[in-house]
Amino acid sequence: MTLHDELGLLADTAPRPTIDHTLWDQGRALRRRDRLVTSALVLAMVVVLGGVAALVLSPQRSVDPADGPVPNGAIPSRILDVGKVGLGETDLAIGRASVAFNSESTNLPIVVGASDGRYHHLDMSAPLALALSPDGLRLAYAIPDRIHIADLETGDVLVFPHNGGRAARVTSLLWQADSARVTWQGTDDAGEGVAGTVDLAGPSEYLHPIERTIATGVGSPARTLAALPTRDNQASALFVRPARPRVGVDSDDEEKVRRALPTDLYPDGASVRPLGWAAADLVLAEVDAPAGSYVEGRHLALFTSPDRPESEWTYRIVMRDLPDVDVSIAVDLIPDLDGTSTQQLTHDFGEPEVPGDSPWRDRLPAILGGLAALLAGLAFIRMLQRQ
Amino acid sequence: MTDRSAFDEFVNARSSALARTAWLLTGNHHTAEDLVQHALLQTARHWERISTSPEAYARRVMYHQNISWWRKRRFTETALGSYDEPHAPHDSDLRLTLDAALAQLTPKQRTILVLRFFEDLTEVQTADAVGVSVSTVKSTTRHALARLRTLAPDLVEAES
Repeated sequence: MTLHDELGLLADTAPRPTIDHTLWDQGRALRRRDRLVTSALVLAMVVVLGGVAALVLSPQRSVDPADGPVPNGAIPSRILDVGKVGLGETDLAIGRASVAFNSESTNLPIVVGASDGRYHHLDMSAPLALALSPDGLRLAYAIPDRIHIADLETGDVLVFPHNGGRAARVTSLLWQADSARVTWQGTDDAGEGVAGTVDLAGPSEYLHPIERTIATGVGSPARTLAALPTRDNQASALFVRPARPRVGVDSDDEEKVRRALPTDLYPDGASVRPLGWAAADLVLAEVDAPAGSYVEGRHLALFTSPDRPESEWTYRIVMRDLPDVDVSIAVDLIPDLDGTSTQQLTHDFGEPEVPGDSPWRDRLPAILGGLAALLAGLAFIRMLQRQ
Repeated sequence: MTDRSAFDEFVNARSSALARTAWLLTGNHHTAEDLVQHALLQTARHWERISTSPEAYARRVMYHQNISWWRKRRFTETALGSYDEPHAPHDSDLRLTLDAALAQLTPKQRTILVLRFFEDLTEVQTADAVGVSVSTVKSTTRHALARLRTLAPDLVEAES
């Protein structure tokens, strides 16, 4: 008898198997699961490959000028308090900015890039006051007892011990037209109003009484006129012309000059907060108009100063629906209204793009990583099934 | 005939034959039954993809799964007399010796021996079923037979 025969006889002693009658149903259920897993794998592969292709092939986002080139940036056509998404930026070398403000939702500064309209959330303690220089290259901000002046091109920060080193709680910051001097207002430890001007080019600081218009006004480039804020709804914007030739020196004699607001736009008047001088005789201001006005609420307006003859006065609405925060504008980016520039007053950069907020571009690496992990997991499950 | 009825017909006709092979491969009643169940489950799972006969597919699954269990140490060697319902042997003394001798082989030796001398697979077919080289099949077969000669001299005489 051969080994084959012996094995055959041994095999004959095998017990008769008890076969599960649900084997077919179980097998088909597994088959359906196999198909689902395979479909999911294919879908995940398609999504991953599609995402990679889109990332590689899609054109880089660029700023399309509204009219002609914008070589040095522009003011955005809208300002939105988008709140903080993702991590704040600690590097202040973000380049020329167009707008700066404290976000109401996060109480952290937002600076908008002048060339691309990107919103930069700055990771810093909530400043008491914030002001962007007219040229958009410096950002002044007050954190309790120090005034900080950041160079937005290099990221360097000058920390200035204002009020002669005695510090003061700063309530407002205002750049002068030369982007080299910034005036601050505040209260000292005794609760008294104090003010001073930090001069980045000349003497470091000179203090002046809070009552002086220099403390509250925005001087024109020629320093012959200063635009002042107004409260409550008034029929005109307010300026002062010092008796002495130059604004910026403490002056006891001042002439108040008014520039009437258009009554057809503001039949009940409006409040005006000057932001800067876009030109020698052109003021950019935040106007807050009551209900019933042609433009209600907070908006930006550009209008000629009283230095221009009344026949040449002009008034333009620059931007509507400002967020309910004090904004600071790089007014040098606003083109002249003399018809020599082809640039629009503002530029439409589209929806504000926040680092880390892009619906898919900035998150694509994470999405691809997640899909890769999903693929790996499905492949592992598949391997286990085969075993 | 539907797929399900064809499967049921296949199971009714060939499950016993599969069980015999499984019994020889494992030497354990419960493990053998598990092996057959697994093979039939996989056959049902891939029924429409089977290009050969269902039995050939099921046997192939059994060979691979037995090796897989063996590699995972799921297969446990059982002692003599652990199987149920022993049939009356034709030559009872020789049969017990063969069963006991097989139990003394390694799982790899036992599997190759069963595939070569019970399933009548060629060396190439055996190598493919076990996942080893042909030379390994040859050497393992040689070692397994030598082991059997040591454990069951009567079988050697019967073989010769």
